[in-house]
Amino acid sequence: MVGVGESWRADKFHLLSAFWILPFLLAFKNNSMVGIELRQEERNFVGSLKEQGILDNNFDHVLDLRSTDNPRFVVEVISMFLNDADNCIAELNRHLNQPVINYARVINYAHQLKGSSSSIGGRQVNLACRELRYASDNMDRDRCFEAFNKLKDEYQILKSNINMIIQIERTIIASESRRRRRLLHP
Amino acid sequence: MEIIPFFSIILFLSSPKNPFLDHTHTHHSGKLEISFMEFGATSRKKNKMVNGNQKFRTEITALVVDDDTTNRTIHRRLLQNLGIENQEVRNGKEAIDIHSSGRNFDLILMDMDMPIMNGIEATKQLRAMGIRSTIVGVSTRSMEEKVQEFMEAGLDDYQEKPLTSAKLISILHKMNHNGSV
Repeated sequence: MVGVGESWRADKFHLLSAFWILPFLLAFKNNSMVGIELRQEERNFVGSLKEQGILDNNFDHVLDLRSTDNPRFVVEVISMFLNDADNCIAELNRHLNQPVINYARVINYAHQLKGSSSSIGGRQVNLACRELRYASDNMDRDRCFEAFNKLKDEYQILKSNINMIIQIERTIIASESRRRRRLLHP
Repeated sequence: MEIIPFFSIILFLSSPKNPFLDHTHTHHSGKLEISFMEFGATSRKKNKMVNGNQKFRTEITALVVDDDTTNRTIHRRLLQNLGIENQEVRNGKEAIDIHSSGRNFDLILMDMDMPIMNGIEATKQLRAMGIRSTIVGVSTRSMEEKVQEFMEAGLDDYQEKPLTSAKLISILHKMNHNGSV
């Protein structure tokens, strides 16, 4: 049978341990849980974009390449893609508005954008590029314009959505950076 | 009893299944030393690891030949994640030039459509120069005729873009087992 004193010590230890664990759990929630919640938000957002056909599974491969030694990888790759894609769209616009269309150049830029959009998982942009490529192969001016207008629309949709992913990534990076600093300097 | 939650937290944090632990491998200056367990843990699809404890060891270098910045970055990252020292060039001519300068690579990831010199021409020239590296064609082209032409130029293998970790591991597996693909 446990004496009154021993019972009191057990109760006191129970209270102290709960008190000790609580700040730890709160700190854990404030830093790591924010990162976890943001990652979940990102997954949900990417999932919805895949359901709409804007992204495909190739984007998951890009996310898989993220690591602790290069947390900014996804931001860098998306930024790189947008920079090159903006240039491709501008060049396509320029060449398609020439009095005499240089279809070889149009094919070149359409193929380039098709390749990079495929790597980033930009499904609709990839399909639109394919359509523009076919139209250029056939030197069909009207079909080229139609395909290019579709491409511009799909690219704007992709661009605005992956810019949002960049924002989420930057918030996650900032949150994880704060967490590491707190762990190093409690 | 009251310390059980505390120890359960400690056990969780030190567990190999803790998603917050860094499972990335260590790069040993060109030497590839990786276990599929480690590689599987770095992947999101943790339930689809290949041969849990199998070790994969080699020393290889790679060259990425692609005119697109995004593709070069992704392919280089894939190689870096597997501890493979790598370089990049932007077209077939630069691939020829880098070999002419005396550099040699175990693995060349060759894009098909590039300005100045495409992958088919570059592959032919590299083989004519006596380069025996493993050359893997990587392209979005799926037309059998074009792929056949690319293979006949001297490729060891062809993979459709985008290149993934799984595709790259299968290429390295073949190199490890056969000495070449």
